[in-house]
Amino acid sequence: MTNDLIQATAEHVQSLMQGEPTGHDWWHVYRVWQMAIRIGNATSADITVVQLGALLHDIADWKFHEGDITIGPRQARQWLESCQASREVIDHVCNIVTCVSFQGAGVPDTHITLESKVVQDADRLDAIGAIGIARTFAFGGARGREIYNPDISPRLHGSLRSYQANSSPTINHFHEKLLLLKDRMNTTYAHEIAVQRHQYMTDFIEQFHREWRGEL
Amino acid sequence: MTTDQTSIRALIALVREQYVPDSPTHDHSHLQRVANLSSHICRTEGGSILVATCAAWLHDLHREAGGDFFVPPEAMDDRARALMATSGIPCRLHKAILDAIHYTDRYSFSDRLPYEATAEARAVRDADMLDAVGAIGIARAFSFGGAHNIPLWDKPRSNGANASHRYIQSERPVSTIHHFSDKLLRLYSELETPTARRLADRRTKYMSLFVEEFKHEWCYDLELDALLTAATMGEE
Repeated sequence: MTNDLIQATAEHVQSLMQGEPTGHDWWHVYRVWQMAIRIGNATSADITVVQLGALLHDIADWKFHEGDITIGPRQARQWLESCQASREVIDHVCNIVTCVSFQGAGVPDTHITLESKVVQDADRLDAIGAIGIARTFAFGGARGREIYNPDISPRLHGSLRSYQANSSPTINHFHEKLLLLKDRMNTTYAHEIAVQRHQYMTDFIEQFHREWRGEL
Repeated sequence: MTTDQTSIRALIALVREQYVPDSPTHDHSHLQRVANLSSHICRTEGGSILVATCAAWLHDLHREAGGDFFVPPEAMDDRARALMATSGIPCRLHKAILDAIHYTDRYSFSDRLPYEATAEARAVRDADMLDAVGAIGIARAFSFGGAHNIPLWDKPRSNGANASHRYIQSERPVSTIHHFSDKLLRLYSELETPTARRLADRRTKYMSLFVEEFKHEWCYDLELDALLTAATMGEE
């Protein structure tokens, strides 16, 4: 039953997200799923709930639904109910889907369970490193944002509303979000990977600025 | 200020006002960097900085928003001529500037081949290619992909893609990571000036390591996938 439910959920999510170009696509979910299994196995988390939470965490991201943050958990619940999952599993997974989204530098994380921490770590690891770089520029490109503008400084957003309204150049996004994630990892296992990916992004930004100045 | 400087300023102002790029990849800052790099190349390798600068600011008119996926630069000659005339660029320079614009987007591995060109044309083409590699090249490649609905990476559709295949400029890339091996990582050997090659060396190596890191982080085992596919087919 458990493996069937995970398999069916994977297929359901894949069919919904196929071809979405900005990095919130099926492959993002796939990587978060795989990473969540690795982190989950390094902790005492319930691996079934971790997998379902990872698979459903982006089912309806607020960034693509005019800022409505309730649509994700609602769609996750509908799907799990249609699969006759137990009430306990449904509530737990929907809680994960509600918790994982990053809402701005000054907005604290709310967590109830270890499983939700594991999925959030996996999701955040996918936002940093080389893949984070790729996804960030793809998102900026889809929104027509400038790559870099020395006249516009990064700002740390104190509220979800301010973070959602942001349209600054993509390089600023590294300072406004991506470089903050390393210190917001919940598990030791994810933190260790985050340290390496953080360093990778720092090197990238340095190289970017060198090239921007016309040096090597 | 000389007459030439005044007309270059007028041209840049006109391009900034009228040219709306298809994506952040070909935006005004790209034109500015190509202009800076081509002037730098002309200073060390020879060639008219005036001609190269005008060509750099006009070389991406075919990347205007709303156009087809790929329009060749030659298709924009009338537009370029009109912009040059309005800003007072002397008529005797127009042909040399257009020649330099036409020479961009030409690669020996593509369906649009390079040829024997002027010093200014070589400088602008090399500068344009330099801006396509390194960290800036990475940022521009993914921005382009995002603007044109191209996935970051996807499983190859066939065994067709390999290091020696011909790059067709009007074809949409399978994914942005494919575009690195189809085009961006092949640019280093296209460069014609030693000045550009010196700058491109580290940028190209940086880009190549980026692709390795990206694939490592992707967590997807292509070899395992191939084995599983083979095993499934064996069962049927």
